[in-house]
Amino acid sequence: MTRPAELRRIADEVEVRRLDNGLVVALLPRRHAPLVTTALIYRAGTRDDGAGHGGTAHFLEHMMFKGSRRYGPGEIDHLTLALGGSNNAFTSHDLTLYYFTFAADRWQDALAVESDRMAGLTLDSEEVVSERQVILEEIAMYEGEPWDALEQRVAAAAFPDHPYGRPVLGTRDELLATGAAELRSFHERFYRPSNAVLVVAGDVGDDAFGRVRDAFGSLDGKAVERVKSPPAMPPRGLARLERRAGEVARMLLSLPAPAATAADHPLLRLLVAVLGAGRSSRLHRTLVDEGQLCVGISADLNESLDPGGVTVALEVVPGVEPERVEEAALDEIERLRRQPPTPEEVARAQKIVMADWLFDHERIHQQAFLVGTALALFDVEHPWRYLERLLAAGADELTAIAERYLQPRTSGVLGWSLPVGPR
Amino acid sequence: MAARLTTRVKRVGETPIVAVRLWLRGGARHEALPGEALLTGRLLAEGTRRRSWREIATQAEDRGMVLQSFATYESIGVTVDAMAEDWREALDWVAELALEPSFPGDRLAWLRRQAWGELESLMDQPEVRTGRAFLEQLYHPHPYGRALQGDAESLRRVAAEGCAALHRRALDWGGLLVVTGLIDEEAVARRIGALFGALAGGAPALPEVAAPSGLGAGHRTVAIAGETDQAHLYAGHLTVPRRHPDTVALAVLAVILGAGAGMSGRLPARIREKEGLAYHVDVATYAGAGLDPGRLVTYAATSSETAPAAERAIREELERLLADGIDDVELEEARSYLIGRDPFRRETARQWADLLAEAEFYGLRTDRPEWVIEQLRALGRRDVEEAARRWIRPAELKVTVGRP
Repeated sequence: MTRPAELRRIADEVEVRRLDNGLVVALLPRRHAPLVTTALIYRAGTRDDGAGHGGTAHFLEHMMFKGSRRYGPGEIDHLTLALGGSNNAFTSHDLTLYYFTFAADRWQDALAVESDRMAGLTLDSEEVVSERQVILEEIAMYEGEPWDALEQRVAAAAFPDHPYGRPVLGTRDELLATGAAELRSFHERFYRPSNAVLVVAGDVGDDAFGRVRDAFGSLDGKAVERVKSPPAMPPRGLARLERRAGEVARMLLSLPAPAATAADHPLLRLLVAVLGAGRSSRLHRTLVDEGQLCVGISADLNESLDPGGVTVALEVVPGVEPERVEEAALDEIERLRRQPPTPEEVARAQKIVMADWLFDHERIHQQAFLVGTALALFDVEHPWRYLERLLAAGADELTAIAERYLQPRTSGVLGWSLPVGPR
Repeated sequence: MAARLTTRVKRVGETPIVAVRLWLRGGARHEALPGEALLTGRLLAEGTRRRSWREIATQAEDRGMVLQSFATYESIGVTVDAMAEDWREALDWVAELALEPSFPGDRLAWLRRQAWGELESLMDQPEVRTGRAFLEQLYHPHPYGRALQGDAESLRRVAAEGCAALHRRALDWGGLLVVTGLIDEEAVARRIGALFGALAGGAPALPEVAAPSGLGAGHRTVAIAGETDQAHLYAGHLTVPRRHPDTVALAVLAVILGAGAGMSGRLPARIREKEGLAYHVDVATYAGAGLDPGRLVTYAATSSETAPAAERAIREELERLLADGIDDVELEEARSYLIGRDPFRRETARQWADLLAEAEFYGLRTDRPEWVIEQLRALGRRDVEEAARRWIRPAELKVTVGRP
């Protein structure tokens, strides 16, 4: 396998420094395309929303495009357009990420925008009201999408006392209770240099650090410490929930999983690949290609700060009994303990994970996100340490992992979205 | 006669990956039964004279390859993404799947059921269901107006013999093979010569397909699932095929209307930012264009209550575009955006493979960055406004609204 040289290349070439005000800056030179991505990550997300004000982190993400000292509402998008770039942002439970990608001769404009909106937002009340309405419609739209609606219900049941069970967008009532004051408070507490990581990746030219220092060096103010959440209490037994909507049966299973930094996590990732990565995986064979019970399946593992979950999602072929599918899926997961993966299965899963990793990190912005997320949540070596552990694992190590995490009838949440009735 | 198989080989990228794309002319545009092309394409990975579907899946994944066989409206084919060291195997696989498929009947039976399940799933998603109804309204009875999966009745009638016949025709019509990545170009070219000799020579012209008339109903409402007052609004009409020279001006118009960065552009500015009628607005001016015309499509994620106002705003903005034209700043910004975005399409081996395949298939020069920039720089305001008058027709808008 070609793994070591290529996989380590990003880790070996990234240069990390810290400004006096605490901003962590990572430079990743890349010259295969004349582009530069700047990714600014704040260690603030849905888990930091105040009580009764769910959705604040995400609401603030929207408001970051709605006016700061130098950029009025809509001007950031307009500037991005005029400079021929792209921008976007996303909020997760653990962090919020903003990024720009520009041609290599104009990337510094992104620094000006980011430092300006880190320094302070306008939060004009009319803009707040208007953007809240946009998010309320977004919430309603997600509720109408079958997978989104099911995922939210399963997450709420899987993490009942933990922020991971709360919707990133918040609820309608929470949003109506959240205004400029809460948004400003969140911004002041968390959107500070010492709580952020800035990655500049691509064809950055000379003195990129100097440019970053010029843009951010004068900002000060320390962020407040994050409140740590007590670990989620996994449900005892298999909790079930059911929703009636639409015309297709969909199942989502969530099983407790460790935090991304746990020693077991890469091994569990490997097991999840044995279960669900590719046509030759166990679940795909049993439920799709051979069993012909499901149109498709997917299996995933969260990579989160706190313990998260393994999820298995599937859509049932019309006319097949959901009960039959559920039994087959649970049996196949449990079979990992009775019939551990063979060395061939493990080697195949390792190859698939490694190839997918390369495919998923070819583009400059993907590499920037990888480095930035690692620095914000873990440490810069985390992705490579993780991958090396996964690729070095032997089949004999996986039995204990299956025993520990893949016992669906012992602890987990199983959600069904079932058809309302015949069309 | 055109060459039966055109090949493009290009060493690109820094990551040790190879991307292989084989597109054979054919696809749903030339199928005898709706759904036949999709099943034909998928059957290529379900068995060959040498290997069963299990062996294909397992042996490819043993190497971490992502191997897919597919169909579009205009082609069937095989794609492989693999580690660069496996370039030889990747090419061998593509040749075997494309040239020696066995069309096993038992796999066809399963693929029929799977396709039917996919259709049900698509129709269960409010936005997709509305989007499909819009395409039918625009294109019916042309193939672009139906799902690649066909329908329950047509799927039942698709037979292995029909799939094999469509595949034979596709081999006759030929197509293109593209290989990109960290590869030795000469070695790859030699291997292609050895593997694809059966596709040497000339290709007959594709049979004519009646062009879509675009004469569907002007307004249509479809019922979607949901308990909330959400609505999906699609409005548009037919425009130009992929090869049409006006696509460059239409790309500029799309950016001016709202296809640029974030919520920039006339339609998002008015519908989302100013009037708050939708939380998401999108625009394209030749969406889905291929050998046959694509479409102007404006989309708004809105509510039943605000959908009529959103529709009115779309019409008014399109009318204003025709009446008042565009200004120099808008043109310059849209041009700058498109030129600046061009390198985004050329970052990876897989992007290059798709770009080269598209350029070859439609006879374009979009694979050459200097050509793209030159075309954009040559456009004046009047060129763009004239293209707008030719292809933007507010009076002919077809509208589909999906609401509970």
